[in-house]
Amino acid sequence: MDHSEALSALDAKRDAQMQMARAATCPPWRHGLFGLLMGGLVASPAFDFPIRMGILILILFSIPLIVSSDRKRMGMFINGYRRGKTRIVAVGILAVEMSLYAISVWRAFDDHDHVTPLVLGIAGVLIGVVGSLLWQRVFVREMGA
Amino acid sequence: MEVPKGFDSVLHPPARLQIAAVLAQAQEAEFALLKTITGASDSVVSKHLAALAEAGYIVLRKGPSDGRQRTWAKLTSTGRAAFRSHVKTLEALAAAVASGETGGQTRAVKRVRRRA
Repeated sequence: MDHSEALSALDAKRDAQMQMARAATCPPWRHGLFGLLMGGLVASPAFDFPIRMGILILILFSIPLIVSSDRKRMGMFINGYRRGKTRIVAVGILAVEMSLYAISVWRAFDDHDHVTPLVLGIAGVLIGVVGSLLWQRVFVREMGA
Repeated sequence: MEVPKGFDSVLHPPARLQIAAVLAQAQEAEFALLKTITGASDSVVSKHLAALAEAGYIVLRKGPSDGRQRTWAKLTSTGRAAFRSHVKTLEALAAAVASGETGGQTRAVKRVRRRA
Protein backbone atom coordinates (compact mmCIF):
# COMPACT_ATOMS: atom_id res chain seq x y z
CA MET A 1 0.00 0.00 0.00
CA ASP A 2 1.28 3.43 -0.85
CA HIS A 3 0.16 6.98 -0.28
CA SER A 4 -2.22 7.02 -3.26
CA GLU A 5 -3.80 3.70 -2.27
CA ALA A 6 -4.37 5.00 1.25
CA LEU A 7 -5.91 8.16 -0.18
CA SER A 8 -8.16 6.21 -2.52
CA ALA A 9 -9.27 3.91 0.34
CA LEU A 10 -10.13 6.99 2.41
CA ASP A 11 -11.99 8.44 -0.58
CA ALA A 12 -14.02 5.21 -0.86
CA LYS A 13 -14.89 5.47 2.83
CA ARG A 14 -15.89 9.12 2.48
CA ASP A 15 -17.97 8.31 -0.59
CA ALA A 16 -19.83 5.57 1.34
CA GLN A 17 -20.51 7.99 4.21
CA MET A 18 -21.80 10.65 1.80
CA GLN A 19 -24.13 8.17 0.12
CA MET A 20 -25.27 7.04 3.53
CA ALA A 21 -26.00 10.63 4.59
CA ARG A 22 -28.08 11.15 1.44
CA ALA A 23 -29.99 7.92 2.10
CA ALA A 24 -30.60 8.99 5.70
CA THR A 25 -32.22 12.30 4.77
CA CYS A 26 -35.68 12.28 6.34
CA PRO A 27 -38.83 13.61 4.64
CA PRO A 28 -40.52 16.66 6.28
CA TRP A 29 -43.29 14.52 7.81
CA ARG A 30 -40.69 12.57 9.80
CA HIS A 31 -39.39 15.76 11.45
CA GLY A 32 -43.00 16.87 12.04
CA LEU A 33 -43.88 13.54 13.63
CA PHE A 34 -40.95 13.77 16.02
CA GLY A 35 -42.03 17.31 16.95
CA LEU A 36 -45.61 16.15 17.56
CA LEU A 37 -44.46 13.33 19.84
CA MET A 38 -42.32 15.72 21.85
CA GLY A 39 -45.05 18.37 21.97
CA GLY A 40 -47.65 15.75 22.91
CA LEU A 41 -45.55 14.64 25.84
CA VAL A 42 -45.06 18.22 27.06
CA ALA A 43 -48.76 19.10 26.65
CA SER A 44 -50.10 15.84 28.16
CA PRO A 45 -50.41 17.15 31.79
CA ALA A 46 -53.03 19.62 30.50
CA PHE A 47 -55.52 16.77 30.09
CA ASP A 48 -57.47 14.55 32.46
CA PHE A 49 -56.04 11.20 33.45
CA PRO A 50 -57.62 8.99 30.70
CA ILE A 51 -56.62 11.33 27.88
CA ARG A 52 -53.19 11.89 29.43
CA MET A 53 -52.59 8.14 29.61
CA GLY A 54 -53.88 7.76 26.05
CA ILE A 55 -51.34 10.33 24.82
CA LEU A 56 -48.47 8.69 26.71
CA ILE A 57 -49.41 5.21 25.44
CA LEU A 58 -49.69 6.56 21.89
CA ILE A 59 -46.19 8.09 22.20
CA LEU A 60 -44.81 4.86 23.64
CA PHE A 61 -46.23 2.75 20.81
CA SER A 62 -45.19 5.26 18.16
CA ILE A 63 -41.49 4.83 18.89
CA PRO A 64 -41.14 1.23 17.59
CA LEU A 65 -43.35 2.18 14.61
CA ILE A 66 -41.02 5.07 13.75
CA VAL A 67 -37.96 2.82 14.10
CA SER A 68 -39.60 0.22 11.85
CA SER A 69 -40.60 2.88 9.31
CA ASP A 70 -37.04 4.30 9.26
CA ARG A 71 -35.59 0.83 8.70
CA LYS A 72 -38.00 0.14 5.85
CA ARG A 73 -37.54 3.54 4.19
CA MET A 74 -33.75 3.88 4.51
CA GLY A 75 -32.56 0.28 4.85
CA MET A 76 -30.87 1.20 8.13
CA PHE A 77 -31.49 2.70 11.53
CA ILE A 78 -29.29 5.42 12.94
CA ASN A 79 -29.47 5.85 16.69
CA GLY A 80 -30.07 9.48 17.65
CA TYR A 81 -27.59 9.12 20.50
CA ARG A 82 -24.79 7.82 18.27
CA ARG A 83 -21.28 9.07 18.99
CA GLY A 84 -20.32 12.37 17.48
CA LYS A 85 -21.59 15.93 17.41
CA THR A 86 -25.16 14.71 16.88
CA ARG A 87 -25.15 13.40 20.46
CA ILE A 88 -24.83 16.98 21.73
CA VAL A 89 -27.90 17.93 19.66
CA ALA A 90 -29.86 14.86 20.84
CA VAL A 91 -29.04 15.44 24.51
CA GLY A 92 -29.83 19.15 24.09
CA ILE A 93 -33.27 18.41 22.60
CA LEU A 94 -33.99 15.91 25.38
CA ALA A 95 -32.88 18.33 28.11
CA VAL A 96 -35.05 21.18 26.77
CA GLU A 97 -38.11 18.96 26.21
CA MET A 98 -37.81 17.37 29.65
CA SER A 99 -37.50 20.82 31.23
CA LEU A 100 -40.67 21.91 29.44
CA TYR A 101 -42.40 18.71 30.57
CA ALA A 102 -41.35 19.31 34.19
CA ILE A 103 -42.72 22.88 34.07
CA SER A 104 -45.88 21.56 32.43
CA VAL A 105 -46.39 18.95 35.18
CA TRP A 106 -45.73 21.53 37.88
CA ARG A 107 -48.19 24.07 36.41
CA ALA A 108 -50.93 21.50 35.78
CA PHE A 109 -50.75 19.52 39.02
CA ASP A 110 -49.72 22.15 41.55
CA ASP A 111 -51.47 25.23 40.17
CA HIS A 112 -54.25 23.55 38.15
CA ASP A 113 -53.17 25.65 35.19
CA HIS A 114 -54.12 23.80 32.01
CA VAL A 115 -53.24 26.56 29.56
CA THR A 116 -49.50 26.77 30.20
CA PRO A 117 -48.92 23.05 29.37
CA LEU A 118 -50.73 23.56 26.05
CA VAL A 119 -48.59 26.60 25.23
CA LEU A 120 -45.46 24.71 26.27
CA GLY A 121 -46.67 21.78 24.14
CA ILE A 122 -46.71 24.02 21.07
CA ALA A 123 -43.18 25.16 21.97
CA GLY A 124 -42.28 21.47 22.38
CA VAL A 125 -43.50 20.71 18.84
CA LEU A 126 -41.46 23.57 17.38
CA ILE A 127 -38.34 22.67 19.36
CA GLY A 128 -38.75 19.02 18.32
CA VAL A 129 -39.04 19.89 14.61
CA VAL A 130 -36.14 22.36 14.67
CA GLY A 131 -34.05 19.93 16.75
CA SER A 132 -34.73 17.07 14.34
CA LEU A 133 -33.76 19.24 11.35
CA LEU A 134 -30.64 20.40 13.17
CA TRP A 135 -29.69 16.82 14.08
CA GLN A 136 -29.95 15.80 10.44
CA ARG A 137 -27.92 18.80 9.30
CA VAL A 138 -25.13 18.03 11.79
CA PHE A 139 -25.14 14.36 10.75
CA VAL A 140 -24.95 15.15 7.03
CA ARG A 141 -22.10 17.60 7.66
CA GLU A 142 -20.28 15.03 9.80
CA MET A 143 -20.55 12.50 6.97
CA GLY A 144 -18.98 15.04 4.63
CA ALA A 145 -22.03 15.32 2.37
CA MET B 1 10.26 -4.08 7.95
CA GLU B 2 7.43 -3.42 10.37
CA VAL B 3 3.81 -3.57 9.23
CA PRO B 4 1.97 -0.36 10.13
CA LYS B 5 0.14 -0.97 13.36
CA GLY B 6 -3.60 -1.17 12.78
CA PHE B 7 -3.46 -2.18 9.11
CA ASP B 8 -6.16 -4.79 8.60
CA SER B 9 -6.06 -7.06 5.56
CA VAL B 10 -9.72 -8.06 6.11
CA LEU B 11 -10.83 -4.42 5.84
CA HIS B 12 -8.43 -3.54 3.04
CA PRO B 13 -10.73 -4.20 0.01
CA PRO B 14 -12.58 -0.90 -0.65
CA ALA B 15 -16.04 -2.51 -0.60
CA ARG B 16 -15.41 -4.00 2.85
CA LEU B 17 -14.11 -0.68 4.11
CA GLN B 18 -17.26 0.99 2.76
CA ILE B 19 -19.51 -1.61 4.41
CA ALA B 20 -17.70 -1.09 7.72
CA ALA B 21 -17.93 2.71 7.30
CA VAL B 22 -21.72 2.49 6.95
CA LEU B 23 -22.11 0.03 9.82
CA ALA B 24 -19.91 2.20 12.05
CA GLN B 25 -22.57 4.92 11.80
CA ALA B 26 -25.80 2.90 11.64
CA GLN B 27 -27.01 0.42 14.21
CA GLU B 28 -27.86 -2.00 11.42
CA ALA B 29 -27.96 -1.83 7.64
CA GLU B 30 -29.82 -3.89 5.08
CA PHE B 31 -28.13 -5.85 2.30
CA ALA B 32 -29.76 -3.77 -0.49
CA LEU B 33 -28.41 -0.51 0.97
CA LEU B 34 -24.89 -1.94 1.26
CA LYS B 35 -25.16 -3.16 -2.33
CA THR B 36 -26.17 0.32 -3.53
CA ILE B 37 -23.40 2.03 -1.59
CA THR B 38 -20.62 -0.32 -2.69
CA GLY B 39 -21.95 -0.55 -6.26
CA ALA B 40 -21.14 -4.28 -6.23
CA SER B 41 -23.24 -7.23 -7.35
CA ASP B 42 -25.28 -9.41 -4.98
CA SER B 43 -22.71 -12.19 -5.02
CA VAL B 44 -19.77 -9.86 -4.42
CA VAL B 45 -21.52 -8.15 -1.50
CA SER B 46 -22.43 -11.57 -0.08
CA LYS B 47 -18.78 -12.64 -0.25
CA HIS B 48 -17.59 -9.47 1.46
CA LEU B 49 -20.21 -9.84 4.20
CA ALA B 50 -19.25 -13.48 4.70
CA ALA B 51 -15.55 -12.52 5.01
CA LEU B 52 -16.36 -9.80 7.54
CA ALA B 53 -18.61 -12.16 9.50
CA GLU B 54 -15.94 -14.87 9.48
CA ALA B 55 -13.45 -12.39 10.95
CA GLY B 56 -15.98 -11.62 13.68
CA TYR B 57 -16.33 -8.02 12.51
CA ILE B 58 -20.03 -8.15 11.73
CA VAL B 59 -23.05 -10.26 12.61
CA LEU B 60 -25.70 -11.09 10.04
CA ARG B 61 -29.36 -11.76 10.68
CA LYS B 62 -32.39 -12.45 8.54
CA GLY B 63 -35.49 -10.41 9.24
CA PRO B 64 -38.86 -10.01 7.52
CA SER B 65 -39.67 -6.73 5.79
CA ASP B 66 -42.52 -6.12 3.36
CA GLY B 67 -43.28 -9.84 3.41
CA ARG B 68 -39.74 -10.80 2.37
CA GLN B 69 -36.76 -12.09 4.29
CA ARG B 70 -33.95 -9.55 4.20
CA THR B 71 -30.38 -9.72 5.43
CA TRP B 72 -29.26 -7.17 8.01
CA ALA B 73 -25.66 -6.57 9.04
CA LYS B 74 -24.38 -5.11 12.29
CA LEU B 75 -20.83 -4.20 13.31
CA THR B 76 -19.45 -6.00 16.38
CA SER B 77 -17.26 -4.25 18.95
CA THR B 78 -14.25 -6.13 17.49
CA GLY B 79 -15.19 -4.88 14.02
CA ARG B 80 -15.63 -1.33 15.27
CA ALA B 81 -12.19 -1.35 16.91
CA ALA B 82 -10.58 -2.87 13.80
CA PHE B 83 -12.28 -0.30 11.56
CA ARG B 84 -11.14 2.64 13.69
CA SER B 85 -7.61 1.31 13.83
CA HIS B 86 -7.48 0.63 10.07
CA VAL B 87 -8.78 4.10 9.23
CA LYS B 88 -6.20 5.68 11.55
CA THR B 89 -3.48 3.73 9.76
CA LEU B 90 -4.77 4.83 6.36
CA GLU B 91 -4.84 8.44 7.53
CA ALA B 92 -1.31 8.14 8.88
CA LEU B 93 -0.08 6.62 5.60
CA ALA B 94 -1.83 9.32 3.60
CA ALA B 95 -0.31 12.02 5.77
CA ALA B 96 3.19 10.57 6.10
CA VAL B 97 4.17 10.68 2.44
CA ALA B 98 5.67 14.12 2.66
CA SER B 99 8.07 12.97 5.35
CA GLY B 100 9.15 9.94 3.26
CA GLU B 101 8.27 7.46 6.00
CA THR B 102 6.03 5.20 3.96
CA GLY B 103 8.45 3.30 1.74
CA GLY B 104 9.31 0.57 4.22
CA GLN B 105 5.75 0.33 5.51
CA THR B 106 4.45 0.05 1.95
CA ARG B 107 6.64 -2.98 1.23
CA ALA B 108 5.65 -4.59 4.52
CA VAL B 109 1.94 -4.05 3.88
CA LYS B 110 2.27 -5.53 0.38
CA ARG B 111 3.86 -8.64 1.91
CA VAL B 112 0.94 -8.97 4.35
CA ARG B 113 -1.58 -8.55 1.52
CA ARG B 114 0.12 -11.25 -0.57
CA ARG B 115 -0.09 -13.61 2.40
CA ALA B 116 -3.76 -12.68 2.99
